[in-house]
Amino acid sequence: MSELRLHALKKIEIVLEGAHRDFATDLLDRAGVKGYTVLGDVSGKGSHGTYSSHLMFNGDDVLIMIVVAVPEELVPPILEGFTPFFDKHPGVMFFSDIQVSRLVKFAD
Amino acid sequence: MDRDLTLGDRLKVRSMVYVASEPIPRFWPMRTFIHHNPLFGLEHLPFDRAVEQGTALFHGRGYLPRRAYQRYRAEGKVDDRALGRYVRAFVEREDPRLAGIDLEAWLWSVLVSADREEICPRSDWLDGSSLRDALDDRSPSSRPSPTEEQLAALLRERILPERMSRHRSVYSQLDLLFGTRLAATLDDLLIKSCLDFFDEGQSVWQAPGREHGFYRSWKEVARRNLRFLLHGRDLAAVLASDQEPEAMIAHTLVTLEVPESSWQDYILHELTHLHGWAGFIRFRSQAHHYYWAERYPADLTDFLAVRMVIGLTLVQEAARRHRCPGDSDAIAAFVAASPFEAYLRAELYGGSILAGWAQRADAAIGRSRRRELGGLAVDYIAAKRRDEAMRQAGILADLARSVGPEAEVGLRDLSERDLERLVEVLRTWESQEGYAWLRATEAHYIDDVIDRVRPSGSPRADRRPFAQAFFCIDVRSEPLRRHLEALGDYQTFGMAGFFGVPIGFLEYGNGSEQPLCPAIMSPKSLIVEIPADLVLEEEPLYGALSHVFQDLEHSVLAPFVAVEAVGLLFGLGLIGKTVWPVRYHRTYGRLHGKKPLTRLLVDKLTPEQADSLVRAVQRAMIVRALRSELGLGRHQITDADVRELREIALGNAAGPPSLTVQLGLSAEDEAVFVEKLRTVYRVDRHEASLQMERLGRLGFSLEEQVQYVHRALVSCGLVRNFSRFVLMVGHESLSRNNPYESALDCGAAGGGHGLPNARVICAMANKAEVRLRLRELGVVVPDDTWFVPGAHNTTTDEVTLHDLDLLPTRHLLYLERLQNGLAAATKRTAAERMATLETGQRHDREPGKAAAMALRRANDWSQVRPEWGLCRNLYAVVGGRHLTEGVDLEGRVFLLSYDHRLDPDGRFLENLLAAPVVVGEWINLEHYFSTVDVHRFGSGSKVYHNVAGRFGVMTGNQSDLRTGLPLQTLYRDGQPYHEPLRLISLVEAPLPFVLDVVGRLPKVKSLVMGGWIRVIVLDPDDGYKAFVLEEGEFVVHPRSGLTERSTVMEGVS
Amino acid sequence: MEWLELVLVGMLLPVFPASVVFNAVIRWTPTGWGKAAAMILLPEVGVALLSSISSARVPLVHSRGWIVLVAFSALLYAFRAISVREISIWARLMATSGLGLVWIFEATHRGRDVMAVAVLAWSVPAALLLVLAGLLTERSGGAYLGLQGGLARVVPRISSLATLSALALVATPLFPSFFALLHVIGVLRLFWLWPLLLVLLVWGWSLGGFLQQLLFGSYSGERFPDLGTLATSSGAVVLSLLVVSAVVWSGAWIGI
Repeated sequence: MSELRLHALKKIEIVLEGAHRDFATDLLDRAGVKGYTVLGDVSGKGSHGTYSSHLMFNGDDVLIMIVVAVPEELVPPILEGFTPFFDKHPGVMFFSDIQVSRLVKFAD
Repeated sequence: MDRDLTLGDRLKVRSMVYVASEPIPRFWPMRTFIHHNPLFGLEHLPFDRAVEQGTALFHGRGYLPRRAYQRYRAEGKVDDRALGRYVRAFVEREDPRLAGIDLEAWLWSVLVSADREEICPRSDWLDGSSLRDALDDRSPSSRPSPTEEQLAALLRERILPERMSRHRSVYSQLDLLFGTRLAATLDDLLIKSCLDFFDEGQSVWQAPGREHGFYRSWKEVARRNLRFLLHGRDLAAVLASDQEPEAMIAHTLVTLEVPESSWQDYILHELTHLHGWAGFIRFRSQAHHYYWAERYPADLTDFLAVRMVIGLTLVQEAARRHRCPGDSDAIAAFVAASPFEAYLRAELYGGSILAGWAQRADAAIGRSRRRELGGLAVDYIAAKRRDEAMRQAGILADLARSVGPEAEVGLRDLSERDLERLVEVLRTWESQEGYAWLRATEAHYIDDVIDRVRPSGSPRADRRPFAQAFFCIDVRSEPLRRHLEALGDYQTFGMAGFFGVPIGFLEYGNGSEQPLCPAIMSPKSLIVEIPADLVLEEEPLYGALSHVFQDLEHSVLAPFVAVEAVGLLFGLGLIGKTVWPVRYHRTYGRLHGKKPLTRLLVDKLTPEQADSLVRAVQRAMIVRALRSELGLGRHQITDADVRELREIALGNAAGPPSLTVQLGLSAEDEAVFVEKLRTVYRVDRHEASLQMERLGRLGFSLEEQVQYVHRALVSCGLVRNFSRFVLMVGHESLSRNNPYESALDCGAAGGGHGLPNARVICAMANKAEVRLRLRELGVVVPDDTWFVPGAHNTTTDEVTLHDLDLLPTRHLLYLERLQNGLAAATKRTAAERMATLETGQRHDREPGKAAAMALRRANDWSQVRPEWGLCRNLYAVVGGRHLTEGVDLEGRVFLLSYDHRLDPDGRFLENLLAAPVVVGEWINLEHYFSTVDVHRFGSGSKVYHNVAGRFGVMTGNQSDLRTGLPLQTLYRDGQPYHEPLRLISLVEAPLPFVLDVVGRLPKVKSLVMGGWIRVIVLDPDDGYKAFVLEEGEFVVHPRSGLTERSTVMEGVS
Repeated sequence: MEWLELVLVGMLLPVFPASVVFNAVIRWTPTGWGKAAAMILLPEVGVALLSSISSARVPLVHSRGWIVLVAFSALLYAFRAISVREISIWARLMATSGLGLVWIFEATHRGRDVMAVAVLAWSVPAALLLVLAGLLTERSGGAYLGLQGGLARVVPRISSLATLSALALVATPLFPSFFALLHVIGVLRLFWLWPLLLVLLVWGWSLGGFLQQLLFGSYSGERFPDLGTLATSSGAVVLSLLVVSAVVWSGAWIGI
């Protein structure tokens, strides 16, 4: 077996209302991330109240979570970019350190 | 300044634009008009706070003027006791402790007898002493002129405020101080740029370079635009820096010296200035599969960047030409340096100056001598103070007189401080008065509806009705349902007009898919309409000719050539449409050929069927490729050759096809041909899988069909005792030359016609397999029940039945009785409606003539009001028909059929509250705001409307896109015909059950708790007590709990 | 000596630069009625004075240079009127512009009695406007337009009279100023068509701005009372007399 090389990256997890999904993904695209994952049907509790995950007709009132892995230099711009948004909307952003094996999928 | 914005800054600007754009309501293209709440972005706030903010943001009014409410009160539509309660609560809260003044009596007098619009008009210099002087008829004691600090404070308020207000942007400050017309010019230039870019096929000459996005294509055109060139080198300099839109926004804000903490507010104000266009761009950038947005992308950041560039250019030009300050700091310095001059200027150019001083001020400013201006300003301020005091004193004296002699005495004895306090209290009251009137009027209607909507005493005999009909919940269905039920053994139900089946509809002859479902959903399935006999018809001659004529209309040179030659034919059309509208349109329809009999493909394709369809398409493509690329006719190719080529193109086989050996093609040519097959003719594996996926969207599976039918029947409470005919009636409207025609169509079907949905659900419900599965689920549909789709034309009240060729033979015997019944109901409903539309004509009450009149109105292209539409909507009733049967609700109610006993876990109620009731709220609030301020929230008079780019209307030749509903839809004879009140929804279900369901729906809960809808719960488990939601609590209504319907109240409006 | 008399006449029948006096007199006359009276009387006095000066003694008046001066004067005042928003000032400036053109009859030896009547074509509508301005000032404090929106809905009678008078001032057909202008064009050589058309253009532009400020927009100020029936009908009578006399008078010129 050849040796596995792992590269350090930062992971950002963004939990926000489903209505703003397109905005968040667009902003991430413009920041230059290579890809992201969107998890739907998220439920939870926050300072704005509880959210349940099931709604037959409406995709806007549920929570979603976007997970994206970025090189370290992209973290401050993304944080800056989302600041005006989270000033006015419920949601959170988590930053953590991770390692990935295929760097080419996440950074140039 | 830092021209190279960091990535973080760019993202931040974009984010700010997004957040700023949220209060702006989206504007759907008017081809599918969507009623929506203009304050949708503020729905997280309670109603009164949202109205306060929204009216400040959009410069409109949130309540009717006092005179209108006084008129309602005179007509008995206001609950005086409720009004008195609100007054008392206000007095207790404010508690000004004014000696000798009975504040309650004063406020009551303001409410019922004040005929001025504002009893405390805005004033700059009003204070207790000047009021006292004016009241005592004393000439004002010589006052010291206002100190510079006082004046500076006032000016800060007017010109440089920190809170949200009008004069925020730099150019509007310049307009106020220097009388330039920068704001109007900016709007003009921006609107013209928008019209050029966003045109959707209305213009014959299209703007170039639109594929690159709004900002980039605008920049290219602006460099060469003569009108911009007139504004000189400034624009060229600004544009020369090749920057991204975010960078341009940041650059402009920095140049204008706007502090970064105010950027968010500044951007908000810039966007709300033209909220029609901003709303449209917002919709467009967020819409999925919107053809024009995909081809010509644009978003609000581009829009703002263009606005900023033009604004900056105009400001710099004005600074150069008029020698006025060029940025925010310079303006503040100017105001600080010469406050008296600034005040005089603001008064003159802001339009608030006393009329007699205007010319003097104008001349003095023209001469611009500082000392002269200073002296003039001091004299002016003294005169203004006197004038304001006299005006206010007059108002107070009139008010005191209407209250009574004690009030006049009290007023005379008030101290100066107390006078100021009195004016302040009155002003505070005025700002809250509208809300008090609104609640008091709603209280009256809540009383009324509780009296009239009750379970009827006698249970209905369990006889099999002759026919059952499902109508849309639209308010216009109510009169038809009432008349139909009165005619005989008909049972009606109310369901959202898409019948719970969201579809994308591909009409025969139409190339694009139309979503037929509420705007909040997007349909997953596609339904295709195909002609029943599949014979290609020859286009009638006139149809072909008319295509030629239409092309002529759009060619630029045509008018010069065609007028003499062809003009007379157009003239015939013009005369025909105007003088004999019904006959003209009938003849026109006949000349164009009838639409053939069609069927809808409702069943899902099996994978094999889909696969063979894809193969057939690929085969056809290969044949075409062979013909056009290699010149081979069909007779020269065998099926085996085609199959071989197909396998090679899909990558399943390799190696030269035998055909090339036959033709003697080189290996290179063969490779090129195969490549062409893959890219141009799409015979490719990836394409094939995409096509399979798309075909997978067609139709519904059996399980899905059962689910939809089951849901429709159970949620409306029809699970047994089915009659022979079950009609599913969608609705549509008919009007000519009406940009708002989609607003009259079915909102539940996304502004389209509900007929395709009706046909789909009937096709599903008539299938034997579906009925078998329904039996297993407990809904037994007898064999002789047949589901028939129909369409209710709300303009003419006609109900036409469709798919009658599929009717079983036995049913034909009863068809005539059904159609007669429907025709009779049509005539009676038309008679009822025509009375409201054409007041003053006697024979409109005769049913036959009324129906003919309705038909004529629908076909008349000069008619600005073909029908009232959803005007006067007020109630929504979620429950059984037994509550409202026979009650004349005048077409003001959304009737949703619901039986809580069949809904143990509340799923159906959830769906009803989350979708149709929310749509009802949107409709209600759209009507509300368009009525209270028809020129700001509504779209003004239809007479001045011009269609813009095929998606909206403007007033005059160029203006902001008009949102909301027009004057003619809501007003009659200059007075509001629609009564602007919030939707009063009654739900027939146990109270804890309802609370539980609402608790599961955060959006509905916030709407209910915020007071955007009024809710009443009729609890069948508790003797039908009515629980009214008032100020966050459920209160038992005093008149509830009686099981007998009070017959006295019936028929009283 | 004749020069002095000429200048005096120039002050009364305004031509630049002596028109400054005419304007000053009207400006400083106190009430609207006073201004109206001055507006009607002064030009008539000027025409009468002119007839006392024999034409042979003032050849300047018959030269082409004089016509140029008159045309320039008309243009100048019309341009000044474009940016004016006060009704009485607008009326005064437009009347000055029009009255100046009457000199052309003198310059082309058409006769003084024609002048006496032609002068009324401009002075009567202007006088009417001055009266209306005075009434407006009485009732609402001032006659400055465009401060708070259009007056058309608030005081429809005053607005309609003002509109018709303004139309009468700018050579709208059927009003005498139109026929007077036509006559002026008729007596001059074709070359003079261009500057006179320019004058007409500027009049139209000025009228457009005036009417826009007067009529359009939604009013946001205090309400005040409109004219009574008697006053409105007298105004209407004056305007209809103008129209009738124009139709009759123009007929007289062309020999009908």
